[in-house]
Amino acid sequence: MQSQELIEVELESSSLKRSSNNLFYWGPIGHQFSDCFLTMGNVFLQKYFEGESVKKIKGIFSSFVEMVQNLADYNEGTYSNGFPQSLVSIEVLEQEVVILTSNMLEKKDVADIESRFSNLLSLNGSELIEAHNHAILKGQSLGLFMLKKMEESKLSFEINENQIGEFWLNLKLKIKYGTTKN
Amino acid sequence: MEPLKIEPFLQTPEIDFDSNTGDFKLTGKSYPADAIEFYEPVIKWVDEYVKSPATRTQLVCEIEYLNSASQKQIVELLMAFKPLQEQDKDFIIHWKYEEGDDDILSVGELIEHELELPFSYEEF
Repeated sequence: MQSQELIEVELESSSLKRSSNNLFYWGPIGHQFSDCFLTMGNVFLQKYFEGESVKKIKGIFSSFVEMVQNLADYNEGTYSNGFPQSLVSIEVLEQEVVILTSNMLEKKDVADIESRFSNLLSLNGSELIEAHNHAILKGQSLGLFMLKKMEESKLSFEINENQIGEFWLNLKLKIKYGTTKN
Repeated sequence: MEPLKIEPFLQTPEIDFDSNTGDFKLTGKSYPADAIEFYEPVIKWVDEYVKSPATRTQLVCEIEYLNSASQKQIVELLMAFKPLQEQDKDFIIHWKYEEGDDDILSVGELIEHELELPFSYEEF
């Protein structure tokens, strides 16, 4: 199910759901919640990836951390009277992990965020490494460069305006992996 | 000055900095949402330490995981030790990384190259 569909299904209430292969949350997300949720996510992921390389396991968890914290950072910096509902989902499929996040944007931020993601996705290999290294030392968006650098993965985004004029940033990261043991 | 000791917690590493012996350890996972809040007092402590350091300082970094916010703070933390080098003090950073973890290794190499700090590397 796509993020926008999930948002419409879950509009009524906050929910935290866990199944054998999916961890899902719809509700307010700030720094405090993201710390707790990432601890849950760490435990959730550990059981799936026994036998995978250290690099792959850490890469998947790293991506999950960056996407959740990216969303929390935006909410913390934007909303002072409570955070709006946001969505985070991590799902382990046959040889692929899919991480989804969706959060509401202020209209004034839409153009800048769209530009930032478009630029990110247009970077080639060497440009990405250079931008990533620069961001560690001086720049912004280090988390996004880390996501884009993830091997055997595909990052996509869309910004949608719904019928009541809300703007939503939907991010999806798909990461391939080798074998799993459930 | 008093040693600095912070126990590890869910997303933050152990800090064990002994100002008397010059043996410093930073160990574990670092992925707090607000990395500045965690690292700022550590950096301030180091700023004071370098004014009157031990004869020899060695910082062992054995980091399992770093989120993007922590990477930036680690850069700031290691920069805080730079005066030791400028004062020609005995100082080295032992950068330990888990076998196969190219990402942590490359962060160390980048910092070594850009900040021109003395590093040694060890895979565990």
